[in-house]
Amino acid sequence: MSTPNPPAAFPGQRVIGEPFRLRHEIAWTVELPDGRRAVIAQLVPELAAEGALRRRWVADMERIAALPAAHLAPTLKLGPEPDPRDPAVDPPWRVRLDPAGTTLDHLLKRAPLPIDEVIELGGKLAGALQSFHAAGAVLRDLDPRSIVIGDDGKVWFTDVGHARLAILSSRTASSLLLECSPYVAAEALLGTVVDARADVYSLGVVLWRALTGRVPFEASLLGSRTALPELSTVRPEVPSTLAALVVRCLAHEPEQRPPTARDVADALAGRGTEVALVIMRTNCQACGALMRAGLRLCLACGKQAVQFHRAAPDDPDAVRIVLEKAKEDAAFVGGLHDFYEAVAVEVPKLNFVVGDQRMYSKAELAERHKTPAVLIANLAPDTGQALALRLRAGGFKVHTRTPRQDAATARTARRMLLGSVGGVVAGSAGIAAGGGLGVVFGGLAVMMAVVTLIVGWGLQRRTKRWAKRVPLALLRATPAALPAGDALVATIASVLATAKSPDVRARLDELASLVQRLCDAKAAVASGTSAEIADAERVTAPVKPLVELARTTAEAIETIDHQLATLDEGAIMRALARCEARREAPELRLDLLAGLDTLRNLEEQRTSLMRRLLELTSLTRSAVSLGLNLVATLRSDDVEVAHALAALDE
Amino acid sequence: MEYRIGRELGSGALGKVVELLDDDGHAWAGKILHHSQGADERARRRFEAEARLLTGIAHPNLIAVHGLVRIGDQTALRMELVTGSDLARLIATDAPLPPERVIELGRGIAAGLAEAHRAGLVHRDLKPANVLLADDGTPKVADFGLARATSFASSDPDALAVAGTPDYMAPESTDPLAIDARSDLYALGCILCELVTGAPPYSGATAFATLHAHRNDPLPVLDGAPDGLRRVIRWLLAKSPTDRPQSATEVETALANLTTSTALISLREDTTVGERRCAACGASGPALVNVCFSCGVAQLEPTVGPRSVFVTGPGENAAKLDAALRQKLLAWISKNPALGLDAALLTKEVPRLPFALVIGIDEASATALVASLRGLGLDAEAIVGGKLALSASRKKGWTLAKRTFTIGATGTFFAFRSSGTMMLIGAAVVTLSALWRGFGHATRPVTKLKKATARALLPSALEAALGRVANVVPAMAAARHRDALRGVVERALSLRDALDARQRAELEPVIAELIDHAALASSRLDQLEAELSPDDLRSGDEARRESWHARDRWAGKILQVTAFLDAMRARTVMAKAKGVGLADVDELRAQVQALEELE
Repeated sequence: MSTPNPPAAFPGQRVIGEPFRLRHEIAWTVELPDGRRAVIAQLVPELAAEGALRRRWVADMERIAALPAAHLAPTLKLGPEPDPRDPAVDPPWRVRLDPAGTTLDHLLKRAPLPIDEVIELGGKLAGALQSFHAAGAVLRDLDPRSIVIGDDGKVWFTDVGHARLAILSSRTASSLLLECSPYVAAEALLGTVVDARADVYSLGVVLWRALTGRVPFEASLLGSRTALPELSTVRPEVPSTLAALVVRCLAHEPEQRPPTARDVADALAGRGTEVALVIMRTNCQACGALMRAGLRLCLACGKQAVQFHRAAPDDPDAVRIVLEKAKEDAAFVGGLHDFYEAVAVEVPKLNFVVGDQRMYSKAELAERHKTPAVLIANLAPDTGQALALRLRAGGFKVHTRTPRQDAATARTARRMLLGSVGGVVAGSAGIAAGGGLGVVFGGLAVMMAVVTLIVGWGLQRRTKRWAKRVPLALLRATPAALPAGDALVATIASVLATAKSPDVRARLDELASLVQRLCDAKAAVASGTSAEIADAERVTAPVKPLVELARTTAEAIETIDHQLATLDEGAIMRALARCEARREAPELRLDLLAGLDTLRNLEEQRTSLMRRLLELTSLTRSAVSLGLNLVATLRSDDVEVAHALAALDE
Repeated sequence: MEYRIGRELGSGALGKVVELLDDDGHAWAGKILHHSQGADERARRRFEAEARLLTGIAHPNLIAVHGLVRIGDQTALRMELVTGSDLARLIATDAPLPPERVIELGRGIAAGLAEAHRAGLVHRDLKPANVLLADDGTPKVADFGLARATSFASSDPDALAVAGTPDYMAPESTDPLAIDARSDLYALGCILCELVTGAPPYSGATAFATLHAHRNDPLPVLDGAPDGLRRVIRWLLAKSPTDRPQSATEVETALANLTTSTALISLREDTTVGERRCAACGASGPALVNVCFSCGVAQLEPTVGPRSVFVTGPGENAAKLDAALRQKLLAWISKNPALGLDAALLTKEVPRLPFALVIGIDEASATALVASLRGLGLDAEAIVGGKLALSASRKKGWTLAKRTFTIGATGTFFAFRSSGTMMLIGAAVVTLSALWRGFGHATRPVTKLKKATARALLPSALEAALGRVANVVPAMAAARHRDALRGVVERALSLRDALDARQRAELEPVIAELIDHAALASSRLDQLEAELSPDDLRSGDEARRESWHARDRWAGKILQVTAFLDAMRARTVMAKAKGVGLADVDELRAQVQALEELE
């Protein structure tokens, strides 16, 4: 087999060793005349023969060469000159500097690594990824063999940017190899449009392998990428926070991963705050859509997700809903379960005493709810009425009660007791006065008084029982309502009206929850001193431009998605084949090739816009939490100073 | 003989095709590996091995291969030269094609595949670009097995790397061990679909998205294709190899029948042996076998027997079951219709513990039921006897009777305290009703076995064979072997259905024997394969190759039996339509013997 010769990129280059295969390229290690080592990589001829592939390779490599990323092994030259796209000349090639060091793959071969080493390595990698992302690109198919840890400790990405070529080449006859790399995130395997979080996943795989010595999911199709073994069982000494971080990076849904590589770097450096949190979900009370727990604005229906409110503490009109009669058939229990699931903090045990109490043992009676039972309490008046209506519609026999009604009943009972005492006294006086009439009326009065006494006493007992009765569940906590007039809320709501893609909506979801926190903080100090209000305003100030930027970014992504929806790479490639088979005009071919370029550019733009959106939410989060913490600290400082002054005065 | 290289004819993923000219002026086609492939020693060895296998197989629908030749420092595979176009080009220029032409092309390709499959070759990368067209339009399949020569040298050892063209890849192709002749038939289905509609059946943003669609998306609708052709294509595109035609010959016949249009077409999709859905995974399978072939989970189908299943906890004796657990139990019963349990009473009431879930069922299902109940978080036990067989159940009866008596006695005492006689009568009534309440009312089983589930038993030999199948399946590791066994069982049962009474009596024992042997053979095959590792596939080691060949022979035999059953059933149906009797005991017996040989 004849060995091909490397293209003459630099006069005086000296080839070292045999050529080797790099995915779609044949590569040679060379020593340049100035003594530096470099790798010349040339697209293999059979792929270069496909016009579309050649074009894509050159475009992608030009882009990589132009990226201002500090961790990217610099591309020294692209060839052949003048135009590497020209199908008539040799296959295109590139020359990149070969940084001295070991590949990540080599390093991982001696995994499991010590924990501190993993943390250091992860931090470095995350930092390098972040700088790569900041330049506006994603790796998409991080491969430990193309990452070099330099002798000085610096991370280098060497042969990256081939993922998209691999996808395109699978549409041509010139490639038969399909690879399902364990480092690639599910969305990157299945889609062409990905964002930086795909790299966060890959980073998670590297960290997992560094900790355990193996990749988390063995080579197979996506089906088995579901259950991750507990990291602590594989390697018990891994700190739980680190384990949580790695597991979160490996989440199947991008939304559940840390949004940026910087978040991972921060978390590894101990600066992170929320990285280990899994996003809790709950249902919108208006439309039932799944949404982030604690969020009040439902992004699916655009309504206030929380329609039901708790009453203020000690509100005399706070409603409680009382179930008059319990049943035990499946429909009854199921219906009640659904009701609680929709509105309550948690679903209580739904064991009621049904039928004669004497059929139950004492232990059972102590555990089970007797009817009438308070289903839910402390509801704002309109919430109480709305929920009672909902329950009645579901076939439940309920009524509502308020403390005010209780007080009125108690008052009546008291009056009756007092009245009955009066009646007894008057009646006794009548009897004592003697005379037939006196005895008759006196006796009547005493009898009436006794009846009143019994009734009044009964009422009083009942009110006391009511007061003691514990509700089965409480309404989910509702912070103060989102001020509709708030400028930030209005901004987010306006994007929601148009945003369609789920990943953008999810980001807005995060933004909305942050803005909500801000609004809550403002509401909390609304009645405070003017200094406090000013503090809260100061916190809001930097968030405003961030939210505004997020809005424009989300809108730009929507526009791109709209354009992307009209372009289908498979269809373009088929049209190209048809064009060639029918020997149609070359202009048509050029149009189609340009269509492919457009598609690729739009994807790139989307990736970079999406990254911006991710960064913006990440920044907003730190701005909000930093600001709120600052205000809290300032305020507690003030209090301390006041105390100190007071102490000095004495 | 000396060859010279002429002009380049084309280029593919593995190599380029050039014109080879010999001294006599004859022209051949020569395939020369690309340097990128040939540089990988293992890939080159595989290429040469495949080339040797191909040499000498001759068929008008196959490109003839004449072995390897050396030209200078290059090795070329010398092949028949076809000057016409190829199917990819035809699709690009002319698709969609008229149905008659599609059928004609399909028949040709199927005939070529049949010949190569007979020689034990699998194409592995059948696609329009690999179907060349002679000048007269005859399709000729090229590049058999050459996809195996793909170099994996540049791929990550941790990655799942497969060779193929995503548009035409069968759902099973990610597992190199699962690829067989039927994967080629799937690809043929994709090609026919493309000829009819102009586009392959599935597409996705990436290669894996396409593969994902092949595995999960519903079959294409194929508007515009005539009914018969549409059915053949959908048959070829079945997700499970077992549900596809089992041989290319079968496809060729089906397509040929479409053109004559008078002949009866018997497709497997017409056959329906009673089906059931698995309670665990939802896959369908023959109702007569008490196991799910897809997930290997035994199927509960309680029949009448001596056992009763009691739920004994969690909770105190005579206390009501937790309402949430009752809901869970109800949900489980409704999700498992195959259980045949009617839960009307459980839906109405929350029972007191312990209670009989169901009484009078067979031992196997009682044991399985107890295991399932434990999985739900309930304490359960199965014992021989009726609803009062459990001592705790009797204890509950007493407790409830006492409580009922107290309630009733208080009422009676106040109502009849004036009359002694009435009090005695009242006491008797109260006592009786308390006893009934405690031991009758409260011990009713909360679910009943539905009558409809009892099925007619098959002849004992057949029942025994099916029972053995149910025993082997859960132990088989590879889903595709279970699936292959399903294919045999389903077909055998459907063949039995197609027979008339007289033939049935004669053939039934043989069918039972066939099922028996197939069950044994597939479980042995499964074991054999578990001992081999997939990495051996890529190695060039001779001993390893031999093990693979043994495995291939086993798999091939099972496949052959499956195909035979298909053909036999088709013949039976046709014979029936024509009013001719057909009983081929000897042929069937020969299949049994073929399986016996393996053991």
